[in-house]
Amino acid sequence: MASHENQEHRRDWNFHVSCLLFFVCYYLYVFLYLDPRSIYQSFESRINYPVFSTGWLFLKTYLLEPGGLIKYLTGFLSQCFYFSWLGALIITAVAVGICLCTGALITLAGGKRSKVLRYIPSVLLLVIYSNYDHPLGAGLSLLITLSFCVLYEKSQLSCRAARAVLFTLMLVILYYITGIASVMFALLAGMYQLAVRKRLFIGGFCLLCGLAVPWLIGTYIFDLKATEEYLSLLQFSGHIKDTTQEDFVKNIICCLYLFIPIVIAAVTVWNRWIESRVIAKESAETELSGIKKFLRSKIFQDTTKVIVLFSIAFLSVYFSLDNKRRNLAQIAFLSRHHMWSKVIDRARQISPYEFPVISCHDVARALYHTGRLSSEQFSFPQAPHTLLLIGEATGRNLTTYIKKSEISLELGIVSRAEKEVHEFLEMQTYNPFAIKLIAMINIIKRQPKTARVYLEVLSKDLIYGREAKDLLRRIDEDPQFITDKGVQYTRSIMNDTDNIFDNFQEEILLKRLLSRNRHNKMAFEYLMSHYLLTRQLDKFVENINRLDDFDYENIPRHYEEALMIYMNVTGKRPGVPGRKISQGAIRRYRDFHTIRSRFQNDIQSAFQALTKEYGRSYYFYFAFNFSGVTE
Amino acid sequence: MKHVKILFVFMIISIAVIAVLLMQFRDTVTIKEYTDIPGLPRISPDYTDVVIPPNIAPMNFSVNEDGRQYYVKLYSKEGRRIEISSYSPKVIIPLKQWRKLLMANRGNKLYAEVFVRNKDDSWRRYQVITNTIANHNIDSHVAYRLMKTIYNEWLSVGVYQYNLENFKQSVILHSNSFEYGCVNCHSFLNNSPDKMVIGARSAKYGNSAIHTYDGKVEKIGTTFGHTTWHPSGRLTAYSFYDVRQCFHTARAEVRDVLELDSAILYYSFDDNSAKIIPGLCDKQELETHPVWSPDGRYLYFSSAPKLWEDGKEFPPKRFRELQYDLKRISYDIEKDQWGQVETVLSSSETGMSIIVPRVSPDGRFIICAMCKYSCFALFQPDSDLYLIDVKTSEYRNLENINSDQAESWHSFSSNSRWLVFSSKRDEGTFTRLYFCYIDQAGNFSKPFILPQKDPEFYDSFIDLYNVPEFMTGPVKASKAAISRAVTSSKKIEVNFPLTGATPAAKGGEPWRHGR
Repeated sequence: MASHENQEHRRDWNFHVSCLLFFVCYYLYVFLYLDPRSIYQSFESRINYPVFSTGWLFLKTYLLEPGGLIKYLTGFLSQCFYFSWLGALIITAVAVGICLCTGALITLAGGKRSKVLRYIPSVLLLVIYSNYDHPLGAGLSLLITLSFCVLYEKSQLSCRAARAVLFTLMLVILYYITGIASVMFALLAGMYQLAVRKRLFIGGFCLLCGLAVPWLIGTYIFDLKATEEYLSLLQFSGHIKDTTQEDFVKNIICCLYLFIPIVIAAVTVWNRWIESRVIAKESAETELSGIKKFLRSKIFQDTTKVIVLFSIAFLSVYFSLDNKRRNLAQIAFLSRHHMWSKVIDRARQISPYEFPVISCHDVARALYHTGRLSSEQFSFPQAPHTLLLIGEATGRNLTTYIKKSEISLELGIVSRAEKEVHEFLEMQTYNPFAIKLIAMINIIKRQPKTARVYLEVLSKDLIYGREAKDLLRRIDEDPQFITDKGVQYTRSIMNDTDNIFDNFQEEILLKRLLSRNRHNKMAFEYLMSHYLLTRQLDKFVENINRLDDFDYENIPRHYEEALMIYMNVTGKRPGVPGRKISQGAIRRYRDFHTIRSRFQNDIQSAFQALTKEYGRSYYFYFAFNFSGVTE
Repeated sequence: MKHVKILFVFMIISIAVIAVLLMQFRDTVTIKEYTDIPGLPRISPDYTDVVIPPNIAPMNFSVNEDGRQYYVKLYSKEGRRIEISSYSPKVIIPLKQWRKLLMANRGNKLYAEVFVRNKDDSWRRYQVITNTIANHNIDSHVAYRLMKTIYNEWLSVGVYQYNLENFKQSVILHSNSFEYGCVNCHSFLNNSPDKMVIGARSAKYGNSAIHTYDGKVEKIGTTFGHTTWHPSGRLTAYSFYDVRQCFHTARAEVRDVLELDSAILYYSFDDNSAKIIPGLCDKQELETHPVWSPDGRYLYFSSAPKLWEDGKEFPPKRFRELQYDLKRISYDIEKDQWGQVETVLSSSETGMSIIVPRVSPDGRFIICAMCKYSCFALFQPDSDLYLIDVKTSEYRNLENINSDQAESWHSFSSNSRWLVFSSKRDEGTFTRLYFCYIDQAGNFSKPFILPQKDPEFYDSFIDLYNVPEFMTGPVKASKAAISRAVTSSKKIEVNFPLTGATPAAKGGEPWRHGR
């Protein structure tokens, strides 16, 4: 008997070694492909930013609410996503933990043959991460709840009263740690006692207690509304309250939580059915033929399970991977870290027909910083008002607010930068980058005392803390940042004349910047881009002489193209002293015009005929209001 | 069992010995020699030369002087002195000892001697900090709104109450309890927490005024702006306005707001009806910030002529010329009869906009904010508090409580001896609450900031305090009950008595009030 068990164990180990490979692949996929740094970046577009700050006061606020500890832990671990390897390790560790607990629970329920099932929750987690969502809070809550469940089921207490007391104690602790997710513990414990152990009293007690304890503690100790408590139950965890989450992700989290009770129930029912047939089955096994024997062999079954497991994981991830979000998250990350060339490379991988509005903005900014805005802007899809993200078309959401602030600060529109970052911070409550931005704005505005308060907050952040402390030290040494070239430059381009306005218009903002400092190259290029995007070529031509204020050797490509169109449309010849439109631009315009004329009113055919050669030119944009296409 | 007993006794003895040692260690600071340093020690918050309410919580502070150890002696004429020794510059004063010391020394001076231990183990002593303990208590609670620097978006706005005697803060109503609506304009009857109205705005649950009385809560289906209780408790007057936000391109405070239209109405709790006040709903005038005199015979308010045509442009060209006068109108509550509007103090006389009037409960003074233009003082860095003598209408700048940053939103304690006001004096950005004492002759003491348990609290606090109101105790209705009323469909329907709203101006969206 003992030797048979050892053999079983060895075979189990063979299977688990194969599955170790599964989690190694899991880790590598998350680390190398999903890139948790991008997930960290995508926190910025979530209402519920996973806040974390060092210090007792911060912890105290979380200790005063049920589920606060899990939020605190989620906040802490989420900061680690800033380092891809560490983020991937955390995601994998949670997945492994859930897998082990699920396995233990299935085994406790008597499910010996359902080895693949224990990996399903880990795959579900991966599906959510593939959507660039952040289910760490839900995952941790589930892991802790399942761990409690395993501990309780393994406690082997014989006395009914002791079991009830232990359960209540564990439920209260779990409610305090995870909040309403603790109901899951009660549900599982109740199911075990009722269905597996057939203890009606304690099973019923667990279920009733699971409903009553959160309500009583929530209402009478934490002053929570009972309806709120139980309505959130429908969504299983506080994490899911995030309004930015899509239904798909919410449904997956629901599946994640419902999966285990369903499997336990199914295993129990299956076992009962099997029990009734076990004698007939045993006698049949002795008469199995060679092929049937092989099919029933442990090796075949384990190999099949491994194949099934990998197939499920691969297919789930393949079909759920949201490439659009991945691109957005990665462009946002690269843009935040000023990796401009990589932003452009990444943008090239997005289909021009699916190019997000926000990426038009990022690409324009990256092109400016690599000195290519005036010559390559129309190599990518572009749209009016995306330069400064003005107008309703660009959306009123977290991502646009922070980008509006960044671009405004770079250009020198400091008051707008301040407004937009405060809008962002109000919606997200806490965001270290936004706080840093506000601090910098105040430093630029010569308000070091205000900057200091924000930096004190930031100094408790795990990722930005060191930078904040460095800035605080610099404020002590040089409160006005006289020696900081970046700050001095922004001061030299920012508005110094006070005007009142109620909304923003690109032309007014950019022209004010140029009247403040005519050498503000970014303002100039953005103004010209604005005119090109909105087809205001007369205004474009009015400002072309400003090229002399900068170090352009020739007329940039798109400016040449715009001048060619202007000359041919109006018949006027604007002077560009010291510079000539290149022969190439003239020839290209003629060719473009010839092909375009061939199709008369057949815009679709003209579009197709011109795409390959001219899809990245201003001629094309001007004609079809679209750009960045080659095929 | 015997072993357990022995272990238990051993543990008790160990704990006792450790406790005694710790106590000894704590009190063993004996400074025999020290060097006297001329000048006061730098401490934050600045609790020097202030008048202290005898019932206030410990005014903990940080010593901003370099040192290895800090030793502070607090003493007065009577009672046992308090000694605090710490390796941290934070001086945390024990609440019970502090309370005993202050209560035993009403009207006396309170001294704080600060010693700092140098790196070479020698001590230095700074000049003694002297404060005065007032004879009069301060109201035990203050209610205020907390929020971040808000422009158009808002998510987390709450009205809180703070126990000035023990630092405890609790929520009265928070936006997160009704899906992130807006909470504003809280007002209490004669500083009593028993009767309150608080405004709640919500896209989902509608705009309402929540009325709490004797622990009960009801929802009134109308929006109250700046609200003031008639001392009888039978009615409130409130302003109704269309406020828009605009932005400055090169000013420390980017935000500015403008009332395009406003009027003052009153709501009677006798018959649950809103009514017009004759003369205070003039389309050519802007009327706001109503406040009752303590005898209930006059309603004071700010009023300015509208300098633009409705719906023409935004911001209007003469926006920065908008100055409010201080006016009042008489009222007879028994006859429900209003008198004539009279000007108390004209902006042409002061050269400034006169807003947010508040009458002291003893009826002697009016304190208001004055700034170059606008009805919203906290966005105007030049806003200062002014005192007007009710009898003579003479006014003066309260120079010793004003700063070079914005001051506004003030409230008198129920005994007229304390004033709380909002000020941006620390950095020009964050609105904090300051308190000062008013003596019989109308002199104001140096203001001090709302004490917090952690003296470094404000160093990293980015929320803004807004609209402080003194209360003599905590609000009786629970947070849950008030939230329930906001989200309830059951409400008192009110017919709005004004018609012919101001046509919408170009640009700018209507802005939430009272920021």
